[in-house]
Amino acid sequence: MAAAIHVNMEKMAQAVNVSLPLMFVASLLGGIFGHFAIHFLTIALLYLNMLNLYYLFLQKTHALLSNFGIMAQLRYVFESVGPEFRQYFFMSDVEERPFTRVQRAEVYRKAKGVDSSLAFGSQMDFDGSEYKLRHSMFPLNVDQVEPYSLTLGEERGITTAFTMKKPVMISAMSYGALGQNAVRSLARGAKLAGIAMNTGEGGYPKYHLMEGCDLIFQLGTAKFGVRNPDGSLNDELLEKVASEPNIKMIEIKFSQGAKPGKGGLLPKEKISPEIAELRGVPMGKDVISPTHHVECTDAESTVKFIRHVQEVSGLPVGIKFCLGRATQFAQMVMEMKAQDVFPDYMSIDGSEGGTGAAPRGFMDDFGTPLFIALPTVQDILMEHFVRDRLKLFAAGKLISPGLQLMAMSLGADAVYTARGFMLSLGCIQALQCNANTCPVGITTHDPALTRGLNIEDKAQRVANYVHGLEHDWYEMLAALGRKNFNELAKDNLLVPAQAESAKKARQTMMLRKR
Amino acid sequence: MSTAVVPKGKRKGPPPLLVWPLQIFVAIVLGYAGVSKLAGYQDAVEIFTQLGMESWGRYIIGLIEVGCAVTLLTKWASVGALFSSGVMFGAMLAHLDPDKVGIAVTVAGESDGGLHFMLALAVLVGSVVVLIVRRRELPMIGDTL
Repeated sequence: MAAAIHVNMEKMAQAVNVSLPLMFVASLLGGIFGHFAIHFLTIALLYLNMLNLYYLFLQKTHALLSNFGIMAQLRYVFESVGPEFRQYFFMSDVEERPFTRVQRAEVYRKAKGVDSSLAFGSQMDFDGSEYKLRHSMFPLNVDQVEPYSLTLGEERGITTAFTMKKPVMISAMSYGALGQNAVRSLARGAKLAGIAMNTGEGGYPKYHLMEGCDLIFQLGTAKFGVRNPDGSLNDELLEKVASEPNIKMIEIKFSQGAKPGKGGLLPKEKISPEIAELRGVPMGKDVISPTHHVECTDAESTVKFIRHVQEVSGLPVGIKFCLGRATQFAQMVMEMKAQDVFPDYMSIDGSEGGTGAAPRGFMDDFGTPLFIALPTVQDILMEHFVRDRLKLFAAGKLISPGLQLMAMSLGADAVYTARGFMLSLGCIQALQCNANTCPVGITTHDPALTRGLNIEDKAQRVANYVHGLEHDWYEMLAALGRKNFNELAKDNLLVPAQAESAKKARQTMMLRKR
Repeated sequence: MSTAVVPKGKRKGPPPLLVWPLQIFVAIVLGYAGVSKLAGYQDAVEIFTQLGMESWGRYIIGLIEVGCAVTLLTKWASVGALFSSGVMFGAMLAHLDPDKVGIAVTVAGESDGGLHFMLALAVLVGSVVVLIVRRRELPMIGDTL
C-alpha cells in the first residue's frame, strides 16, 4: 500500500520547475490577446518564477532549495508547523514533553478552580517502572492531619527565622526571564496563597517586591544586584537587599538542574537601562555569569562563603544545586561539620529542571535526576548525623500533588516548582521561553504579547492552584495514614526496581572511593 | 535569562533607515492612485474601461493600492512592497500594450503626456527597491532570501 500512495518528490519538483515558466508564458499571452484580467495570474507566476530561479541557481545556503526549487519550501513550511500539528492533532494525552497534556490539564483545572477528577481509568501504563505512593490500610480522616509548618533558621536560633505554612514555593524565575506582568501575577498570587516566591538571579527584585509577598532572594554566580564590578559579593548591597522586610531568605545558587555547571552570558543587546540598574552591570558590554562563585573554589571556601552570607544578611540562607558527584557532596558535608556551619536549607534541583535557555547537551545529558539525587543527599546527611541541622527542598517537574508528596517521602521538607506556576498562569508549553515570543505573554517583554496577561485574573489562578494542591495534599496524607507532613518516609513509596539498582551502583561506587 | 541564543550566520542587522523616505513616497503616490480609483475619478474609469475591467477591476486594484500604502508605513512594509510591485508590474503590462492603455493615456480627449506611466514606473522602482532591501522580513520565505 505504501508504494501506491508514495509521492515522488523529485519528479514532482521537476514537473513544477518545468511547468512554472510555461504557465507564465501562457498566462502572459492570454493576458495580451485575451482578457487583461488574466494578468493577475501572470504577475503571481512572475514572482513564483523569480523565486524559483533564485532558489535553483543563485542561493547556495540551502541544498534542498538548490536541488528542487520552490517545491522544497513545502518541507520548511511543514517542518515549521510540525510542533503545532503534533500537539493539536497527533500526540496522545501522555506523549508530550516536558509535560504531558494529562499533567498540564491537572494544573489548568486547579488554577481555574474546576473539578479535576478523571473518569474510567488512568492514561498511564502500569508496568512497575514508576514511583507510586503506598497508602495505608487504615487511612485517617482528613481533619486528623495536622497543619503544615516549617521554620527555616530554627536550627541556628536566629530571630529572623522564617516559617512557612505551605510546603510549596514558586521557584526561581527572574525579571528578565519573565516579563513584568508575569512576575507581578505570580507575586500577587503568592501573596494571596500565603507562599514564598524565589526572585531568581535577576538582580534587585523590583517587580517581585511590588506585591508584598514573601521573597527568597537568589544569589547567582554573577551576583546580580549585589555585585562588585569584578563579580565578587558586595556586602553593603547584600545587607541592603536583606533589610527589605519582604525578603525572608537568601539562596546561594551553585548550579541549576537544567544546565548544571554552566555559566551564562547576558548579551549587551538585552541590557536595557532598567536591567543594567537592577542587576548592577554596565551597559553596552556583554556580562558573563561565571560557572561558579569567585569566592568558592573548594569545599572549605564554599562553606566559609555560606557563613559569610549568613553573617552579612542576618537571614536564613540556603543553597541550591543540582547533585553531581555524590562523593564531592559528602566531602562538603564533612567540611560543614568541621567548620560547624550549615546552610539553613539545601534545595536539590533535579536534572529535569526547567530553564529559559540552555544548550541541549546540558539540558539532556547533565546532572542527577531528582528522585535519585534526593535520597542520595538524604542518605549522606543521615550518615553524617546532620540531617537535623538543615531543611531540604526539592525541585524538578514537581507540578502535581502526588509528585510533590513523593519528593517529600524521599526526604524533602518542602518543594519548589516554577513551571507548575507558569502553567497556572496559562503557559501552553509553546517552548519559546528563549525567544521573546511567548504566545501567552509570560516569558516575553513584547508589550503586544504581555497585554493578554491580566495580573488580577492570573494572580487568582496562581492562588487557586495552590489551594487545589493543598486540598489534595491533605487528602493524600490521610490516605497515606500520616498525621503530619514530616512523618512521610520512604516506606510511603513504591520505588521501581531500576531506581533501586541505580542506588546500589552508587553505593558500590562510594565504597570504592572511600 | 543568563544565557541567550545569539543568532549566527549571514543574517544582517535591520535595513538602513534610508528606505523609509522611499516607503513614504511610494505610499503617498500609491494612496492617491488607490483613492482616485475607489472614488471613481474620470481617468481611472477610462483606463479600466479600456482594460475591460470597469468597475470591478478598478475596485480590486484600488483596494490593493490603498492596502499597500498603509502597510508600507508599518512593520509589514515588505509585504506591502511585494503587492505594490506586483500591481505596478500589472500597470506596466497595461501601459506597454498599445492595444490596451498605451504609454500616453487619453482622458476626456486629452493626452496626459505619459504622466500616469511615469508615476507607475516610479512606484514600481520604489517598491522593488523596498522589497529587495526588506526581503528578509517577508513571512515564511524571508529566512531563505
